[in-house]
Amino acid sequence: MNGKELVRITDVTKVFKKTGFFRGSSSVLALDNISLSVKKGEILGIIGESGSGKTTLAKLILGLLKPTSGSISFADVRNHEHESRKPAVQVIFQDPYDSLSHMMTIGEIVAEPCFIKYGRSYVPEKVRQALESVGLIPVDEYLHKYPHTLSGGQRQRVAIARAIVTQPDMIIADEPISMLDCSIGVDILNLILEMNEKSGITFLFITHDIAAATYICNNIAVMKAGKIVEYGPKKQIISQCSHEYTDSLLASARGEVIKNY
Amino acid sequence: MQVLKIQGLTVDFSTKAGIHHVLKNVDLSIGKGEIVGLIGESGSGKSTLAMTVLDLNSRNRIVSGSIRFMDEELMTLDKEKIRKIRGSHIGFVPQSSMNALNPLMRVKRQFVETIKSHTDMPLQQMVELIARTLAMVSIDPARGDSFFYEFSGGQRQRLMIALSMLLSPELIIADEPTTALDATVQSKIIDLLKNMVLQKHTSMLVISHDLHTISRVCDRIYIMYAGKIVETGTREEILTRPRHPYTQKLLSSRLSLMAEPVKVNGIPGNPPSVLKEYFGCSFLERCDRASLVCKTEKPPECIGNVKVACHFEGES
Repeated sequence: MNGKELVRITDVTKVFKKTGFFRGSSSVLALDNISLSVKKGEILGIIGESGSGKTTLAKLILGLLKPTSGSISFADVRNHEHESRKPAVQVIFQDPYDSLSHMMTIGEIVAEPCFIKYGRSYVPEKVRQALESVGLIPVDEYLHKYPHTLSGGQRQRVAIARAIVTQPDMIIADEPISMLDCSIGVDILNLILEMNEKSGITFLFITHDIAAATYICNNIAVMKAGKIVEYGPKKQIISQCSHEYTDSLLASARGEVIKNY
Repeated sequence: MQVLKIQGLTVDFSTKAGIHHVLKNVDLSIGKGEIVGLIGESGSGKSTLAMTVLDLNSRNRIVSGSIRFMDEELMTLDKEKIRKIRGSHIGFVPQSSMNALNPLMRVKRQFVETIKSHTDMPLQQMVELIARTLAMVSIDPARGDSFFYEFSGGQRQRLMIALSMLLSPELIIADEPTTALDATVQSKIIDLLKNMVLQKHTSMLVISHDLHTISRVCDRIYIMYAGKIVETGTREEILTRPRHPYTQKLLSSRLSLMAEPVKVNGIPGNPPSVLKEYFGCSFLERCDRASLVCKTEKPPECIGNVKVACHFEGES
């Protein structure tokens, strides 16, 4: 593993076994021998249709699922005191209407990861900083609000604040804008870009919208039926894609009629 | 001839928190064979408009204005008569089509149920009609015996479209038909909607927040903001010469395919609260062009020949 890589995924296969009560068992191949590396400080886009295994990949990196075969390795990162440790990974989920607890205030939601990580000794100032950096200003107004009083865009900002509060090295954003209006979605994308530039957080941006991916990503991987069918820098994907699925995605983003896909 | 003509429709809902002013003096008309788009952000009242036409939201509702469907005033009809119109004359594709059908009934039975409640068709004819409609949306008629959850997202959406078309209604209202679908599936659904309208000679009202996707099929477009129509025009007018600042911002917040990094700006600020009454323009706080007159005077209403609800219409 060279110095630039943060996560390397080698030959990962994930099979889901389905055991029906009457029908016997069947299995679904969600990821088929995937290899991918995420570089430090980049925004890597993963594009694919529903059921192509994008979210499974995210869950494997997060450690929520174990791969059936293959390995996922993390590079060591060094902090200011030059101690080496494994990178911290956080996640932003697709649906901001469901991913925030209705029973907790915004302050509690954002403080929870700190609480889990540092115990009672966490610094409350960090929560305020996180909310400030996602643009929920004035912070005092939002700290004691409940999620149901916020709009979709504001909720997604809370989800992002929750992800950045523990200062992770990498954030996995699983379709963060697909539930939002396009005018609000652009603001969220700009926020992700800003986080990437200012704090150097690595992003894994999962989406089915190729236009959004080309807007913020450095590199793009296209997934189809559990395989990565194309991988390359953004420019290369747009101008000289080789797979027909990428082509159909580009065509639908340009507003052309898709004939045979 | 106008299939649907809405004039001066105002809808308020009374709740514990106060009166929500959801629709304010909305004028909208749909001609025969026309596809009309209604675009607005979340909470602007698009779905309320559809629900009010279908009379599905009568709880706590205070409504005034007129809704004429095929020269019949819907506002004065009783519930039973509206129920007859709904489904047979006005088809509806609801917003959350992913879970709009009963998961415990086979798809075919739900189609039969719709036909039975409106006509006395013999069984053989019903089966033929269902098979024909399913084939039209390119779903294998043999799959009518499956359950709804056995279909994929795009297929479910197509089933809902087939169900709304079943009795060849004069008007179809499709509420966010492409939201929550993949990009490639979206364009297929859009093409399907267009083909269905051509084949069945119906009219259609498409509701969406995605101006760019929906505009491909629309003949005319209404832009809605905070319960008001702020701009209306043909597709070319809206896409090439938007005149209201909100429409201009909506269009410029689109992400296009680009290899070079270009900064795209969204629309800053939040949509206004429905609880407050605004004396001036409701877009005031998010508008670049806002000036004193916007604060004190209401902009012109989008009625009759007025196409843009902005004080500065015609200037710049």
